[in-house]
Amino acid sequence: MTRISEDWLAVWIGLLVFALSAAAMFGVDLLGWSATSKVWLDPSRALSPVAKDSTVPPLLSLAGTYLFMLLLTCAGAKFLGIRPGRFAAAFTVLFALSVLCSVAGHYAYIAATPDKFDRLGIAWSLNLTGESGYIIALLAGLAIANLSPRLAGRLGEAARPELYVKIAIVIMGAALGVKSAETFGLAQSVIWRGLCAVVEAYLIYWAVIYYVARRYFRFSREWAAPLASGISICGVSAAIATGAAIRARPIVAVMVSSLVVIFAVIELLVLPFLAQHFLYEEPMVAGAWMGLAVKTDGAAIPAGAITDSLIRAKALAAGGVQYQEGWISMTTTTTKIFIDVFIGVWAFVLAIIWTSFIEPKPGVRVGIGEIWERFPKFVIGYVLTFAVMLWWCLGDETRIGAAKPATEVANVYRQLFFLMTFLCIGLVSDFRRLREEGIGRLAAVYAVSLFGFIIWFGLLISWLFFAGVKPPLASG
Amino acid sequence: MQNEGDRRIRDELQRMPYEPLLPVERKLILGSLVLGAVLLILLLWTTRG
Repeated sequence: MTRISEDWLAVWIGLLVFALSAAAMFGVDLLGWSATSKVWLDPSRALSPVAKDSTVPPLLSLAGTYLFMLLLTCAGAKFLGIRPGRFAAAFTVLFALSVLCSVAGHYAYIAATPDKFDRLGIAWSLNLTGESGYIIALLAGLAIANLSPRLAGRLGEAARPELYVKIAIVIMGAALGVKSAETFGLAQSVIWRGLCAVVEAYLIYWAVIYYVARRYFRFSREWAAPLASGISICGVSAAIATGAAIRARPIVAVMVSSLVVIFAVIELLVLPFLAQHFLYEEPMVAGAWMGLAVKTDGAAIPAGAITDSLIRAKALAAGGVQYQEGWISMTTTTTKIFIDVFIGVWAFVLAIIWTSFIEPKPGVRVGIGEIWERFPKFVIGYVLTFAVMLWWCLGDETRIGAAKPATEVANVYRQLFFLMTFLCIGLVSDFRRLREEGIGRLAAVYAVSLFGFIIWFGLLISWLFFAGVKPPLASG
Repeated sequence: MQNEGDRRIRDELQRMPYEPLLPVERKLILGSLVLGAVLLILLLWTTRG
């Protein structure tokens, strides 16, 4: 069987979910039975089909959702060269844990926002929204990885955070396309400002971190370049692309990548809550900040989703302002997608500098094809779903009404893949690595650069380009 | 095998010899920062103007 990359697999699975859910726009509801979590006090109401008029019982709806996702991912596993049997067993456990975390995160006293207190008959809640399920999933994954490494090892076959988040990103493109059609001017502004912020981040982040790693931590060029890309640009993908571009040994990128995931977990647990506390009056700054500060797609885009929920909840509770859902996530996604797109270009530039000036090797030439080789292909899926829905809805504004229920259906799978991403990030984060000799030096440069510079400079850039830009207010 | 490989990498990280910054590396760092600063002014001007 022909093997494909994780990126292309994410494109095909994401497009299939998009196509099936988009049928609802034409009156054919193929996935309306899919199970989604609701804010609950009575456990029997924790899950229900996403379509309001669906009569499918909740447990049957959940079983159908599980079978659908199992079918999609097992078929995908075959294309990745993984044995579907072992994948299916591990996937089943991960799916069950993800749903449990989502249900726990939707418990009314944890998730309810103030506007829902009366309807639920409660007087208080932690106001963390249903997205707290993501944090619970992350903590569950961390607990398994660090307390029961054997179980984590057995689940390893299906613990693929990058695949799950890329599928989720492709699916999310559709909802963001519809949102952009509603407020087209704002969407254009977000895209332009996101591009500007990323250009700045690339040029300044990388140079500073490379200098710090070389000058103060005395790393060799082979280690400093992937480290600078991993810390400053986009974690795992950038470290691997840079390592390949400068012909570093593969182990260099692997070591850097293992640190990227560990530090991304720390950022995930801290930054969205910092943003909620200090940036609820500048929601788009917070969204861009998540994209520029949290490394790797697996952590950054879900961090944007959590920040979206937390800030909207805080703005509502503190000032009665009800922002539309999704604009903060869109800002995070836009900056992160631009970062991903530029990885190939940056790797190309570094490859030319290395092979021409730093370590010239006779006969080695860098072709422009390297840019395409390093291009993150899942971005194609995201751009497709985004552009199709934008084009469809801009053509006739009355179509927006029909498009929204379709994206709500797709959103069920976006959320489930996000949950699995969080759980898997926890599963692959082995904090014991930090105690290993030698790693300390790598960890030190990472910690100093991330917490001493990247996070705060990312905040400054986000502020400069997004301050004063507000999401539209929710109507009704 | 894996443990031996890990140990080798750990030793390498601990005993890495210092490679002084080459002039071309300095140019890369400085060029990137200068371009970043110039573009920052330009992009802010076009975004806010």
